[in-house]
Amino acid sequence: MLNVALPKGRLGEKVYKMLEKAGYACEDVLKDTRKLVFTDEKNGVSYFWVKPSDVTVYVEHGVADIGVAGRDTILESGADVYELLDLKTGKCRMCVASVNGFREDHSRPLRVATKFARIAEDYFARRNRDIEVIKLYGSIELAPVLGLSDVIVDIVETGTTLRENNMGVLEEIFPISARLIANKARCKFKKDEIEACVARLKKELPDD
Amino acid sequence: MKPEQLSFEERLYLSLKSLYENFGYSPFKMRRFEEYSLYADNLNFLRSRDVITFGDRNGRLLALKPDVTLSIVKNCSDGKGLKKVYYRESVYRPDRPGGQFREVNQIGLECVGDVDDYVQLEVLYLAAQSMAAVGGKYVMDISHTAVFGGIAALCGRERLPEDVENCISARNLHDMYGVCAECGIERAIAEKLVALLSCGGSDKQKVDLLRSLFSGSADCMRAADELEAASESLRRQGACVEIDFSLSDDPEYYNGVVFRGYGENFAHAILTGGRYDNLVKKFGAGNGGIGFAICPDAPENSARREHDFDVLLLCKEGTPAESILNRARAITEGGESVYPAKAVPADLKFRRVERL
Repeated sequence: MLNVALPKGRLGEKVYKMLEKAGYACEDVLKDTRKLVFTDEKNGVSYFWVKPSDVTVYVEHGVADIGVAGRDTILESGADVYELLDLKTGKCRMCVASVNGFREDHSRPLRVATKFARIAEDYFARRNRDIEVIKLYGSIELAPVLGLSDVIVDIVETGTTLRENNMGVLEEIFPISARLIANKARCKFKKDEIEACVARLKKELPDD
Repeated sequence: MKPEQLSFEERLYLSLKSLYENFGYSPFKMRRFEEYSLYADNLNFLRSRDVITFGDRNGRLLALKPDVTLSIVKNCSDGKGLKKVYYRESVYRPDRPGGQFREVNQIGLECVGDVDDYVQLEVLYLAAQSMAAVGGKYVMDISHTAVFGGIAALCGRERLPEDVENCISARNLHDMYGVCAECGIERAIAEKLVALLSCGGSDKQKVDLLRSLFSGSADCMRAADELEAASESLRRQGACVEIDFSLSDDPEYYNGVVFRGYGENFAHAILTGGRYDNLVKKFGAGNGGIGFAICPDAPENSARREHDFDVLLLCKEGTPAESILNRARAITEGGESVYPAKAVPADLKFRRVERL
């Protein structure tokens, strides 16, 4: 039995459909229900829906053998997991952005508003730039508009929200897509099952 | 005390103690703290650089030990012969980089001094036996720091860039080409890295692939020979070992064979070890060192105990204290544990109930 942690929301549903096509169907998974765990004995799979940022936690602790998480979540969590497949879906970018016409003041630390403190600290540390991280949990774009921060580090999908707030991308940090991750220990004991799942999923990946 | 009354860790320790002593290892006991300068001078040899420090009355800065190996090597610095020790100690370090400090109980062994091929094989064998003693199925992954050291040298570097190492340890092959390009590693090397890491099959096939892909590296050839010999010898001894090149432990700490043990009832590796000659040479303690530590937190899937104590001795109100004691003693002398009480405790389970 393969235990799979799926992120709640559109991305999780999209990846479930890939898994379904790959032979890991499970009844009722996509039904509007409050049920959280779905098991299909015949296909040897058990799914559970979790908050997207918690997928790495479930996988790292071995409760889920595999899971689906964005590259942003994986890097921000620092989870010690295998990253077995780029699912080529949920594509977007992790970017530094600010209000249009922003000029950096190098005489003081850069104030960075973000949900991704670890990614921001690592990115600017590599540039030897001193920053002050302002941790926010939503509406990150508001921070530079109101002067709470100089820049933001956030996910940019189409850039519409930035444009509507007179903002733009300054730098791209890395591209993001959904990844299939796996617990390192479970990979030793469910090697055949996990390798078969990766091989079957590869055939269902969207074209580049 | 009956064996089933011992905690998982106690039972494991008794079993490992006997195993290690049978192979000529002596117990090693150390203090909970060391002078901080020991760690400050050897930061490269610490797994985590976060250390809990405090001052003593003389103004010396002390540290709760984050690591056992440094203390052992320091105490072996007469550099004569081979020291073989085992220990059971607590270390204090964060559960992950930047995480909360934890007290981690470790059991392990170290060989310091004249480490030769036999000593290395013995330690690998005892590591595998330690994993077997934990119970359930296990797999011990082995690799060698010279694999990626050799590949780095082919790229004109001392070690591979951190982002490439991260891709290796996460088996992230899909990002490997992009990351290598960003770090200035040529495409041909990236292709070979992907081929090496995606190789399944037997250990023999893996080392043969390493030899064919990186034939220009003497380090890779040496690593292939050592890994092949270790893997074959250990298999003949019945050990469950597997060569896994994605096991790329810190090359500043380790400089040879590295290994990691996974148990089927655990979500993480519970045994880590390897060869650390550089540390031993720095302390003048001989030519080599090898050891491992096992952190035997209770297995996550272990069954809960069916009862907390054998007998609930229910005593009526007014029963003389000495009568209760006499009966309780009689029960314990019969080999059972007893819990005298006037009412059934809500949160405890018993095998049987006796009324007095």
